[in-house]
Amino acid sequence: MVMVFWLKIMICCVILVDMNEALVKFKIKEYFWKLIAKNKDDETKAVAEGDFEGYFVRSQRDEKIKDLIQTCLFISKNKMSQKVHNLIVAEENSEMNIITGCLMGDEVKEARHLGITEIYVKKGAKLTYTMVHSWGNGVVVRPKTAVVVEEGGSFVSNYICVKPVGDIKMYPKCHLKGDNSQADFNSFVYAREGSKFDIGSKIVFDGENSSGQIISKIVCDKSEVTNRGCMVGNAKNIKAHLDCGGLILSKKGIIRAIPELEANLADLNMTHEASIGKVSEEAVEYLMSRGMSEKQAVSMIVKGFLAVSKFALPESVEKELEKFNF
Amino acid sequence: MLKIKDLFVSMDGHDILKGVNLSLGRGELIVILGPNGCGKTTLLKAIMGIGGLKINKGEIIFKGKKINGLSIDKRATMGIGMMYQKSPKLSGIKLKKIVDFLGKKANTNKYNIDKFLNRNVNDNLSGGEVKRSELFQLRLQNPDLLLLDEPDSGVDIENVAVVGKEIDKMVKEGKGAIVITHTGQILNYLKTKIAYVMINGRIVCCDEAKKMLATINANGYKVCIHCKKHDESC
Repeated sequence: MVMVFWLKIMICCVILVDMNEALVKFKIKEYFWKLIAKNKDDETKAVAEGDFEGYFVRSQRDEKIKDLIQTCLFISKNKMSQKVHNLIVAEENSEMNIITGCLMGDEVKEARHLGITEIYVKKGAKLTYTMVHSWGNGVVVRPKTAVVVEEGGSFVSNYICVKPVGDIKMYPKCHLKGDNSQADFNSFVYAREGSKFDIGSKIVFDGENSSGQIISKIVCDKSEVTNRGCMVGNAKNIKAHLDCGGLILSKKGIIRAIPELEANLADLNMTHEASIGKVSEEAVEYLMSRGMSEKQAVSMIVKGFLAVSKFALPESVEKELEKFNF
Repeated sequence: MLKIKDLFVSMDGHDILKGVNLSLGRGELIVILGPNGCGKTTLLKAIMGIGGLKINKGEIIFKGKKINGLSIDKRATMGIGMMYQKSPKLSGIKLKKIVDFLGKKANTNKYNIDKFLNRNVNDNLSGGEVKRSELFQLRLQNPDLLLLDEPDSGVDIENVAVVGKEIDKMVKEGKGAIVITHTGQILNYLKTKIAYVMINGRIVCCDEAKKMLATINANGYKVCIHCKKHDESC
């Protein structure tokens, strides 16, 4: 069976329960299927029309939740199709830090993950949402995420994938609806041999003085990565920056960086930069001349390229990445 | 400790070193002078094994073992260390990571290096700061042979003193060193005797270092080109 794990908690400041249970217990229909159309595509329809699992997380107004809220999506059996619908609501002036791990059992060779996640960041709220993917070569992954951020709200998305995946398409969209709102999408991908990624993020700036950035760090090893980034400026004094960085380790690796900026008025500031290159031989030699093997030198350079430490990742994630052998 | 015999080296099909002979023992320091492009840096790179060079003929023997073709890290492990003329900037790699790798303790105060440990290697540092960082890493690495490519270039007088005194100390400890310099400032702190002049990929002359530098400063390298001394006599 397909399994979705989380701790069921309903304490004073946060609710974390099964999505189906939440639909019965809480008045949340105003949020459900409001950011993503049910008939958007076949994959979305499959989630809308069939049974699904998922989690509902809601912070209470004005509550600053210091503890990390953890959820986990787990595919336990081979050839299963996991259908998930998640809903996250950060109420006004609250703060939450959520981490979601997606993984599968050792016996799973083929599987499909279809996910819908709708996220609401209310006035003045701050939500950090970290997703760590740990799939396998035979898994097709199709998560659809939509976010809306109200006035003064802040949304930070961290996406991390350093394990193989069969084929993933993911293009979360964030609507900065309120003035002075903010969104950051940070992606760290080490595309292992045979993996195929078509990923990216989109931010639509409708609130004045809102700001956002999309930063992608892609390391590609005998794999194919399409890295998209789109920012649409519709409001005055917005500040938008898009940065796609790619490092190719193998002659059989492909990275396509597709940055897109759309400015619909003059009084705004939108920038982008994209760079793709190989590991600097000079840097490898420098480190080897200090006594490192070539493998150790390349690993250190890759970690340096990803440079996760400058992003606000949960400490546990940062420590795991530090230990990871690239 | 180091013997170089009739070394011919090329890069991308261009001959750079054309028959270099050199030897160096423990506790010895030699200086190599020469015009830009004569092959000085290539010689150090060939000894370290970096820069995509091709050895067409000759031998590099270190501690009695021929090291032609040996990987860079193996040469480093055997006891060869290099201070680069142009150290690459290592984006996202903190100096502390290299220090941790080298796994030894050194007095950071001496090099005034503490503030750089959590900064990217060679990034946004002044010339003197880069050289101090390089020297600090070499101290931790503790090689027997120091390859020092222009340790005084782009460095203010105070930092030249720090670097020069430390090199001199390491040589007194028994390390061998090859120093490339253009300005000769570093010589004020080194108790070296011999400088070699390299022209067009060959060592053509040698003499007492300060005397040689004074001659070159007065007359340029043309005097070396026409010098009667050959590398065999050096």
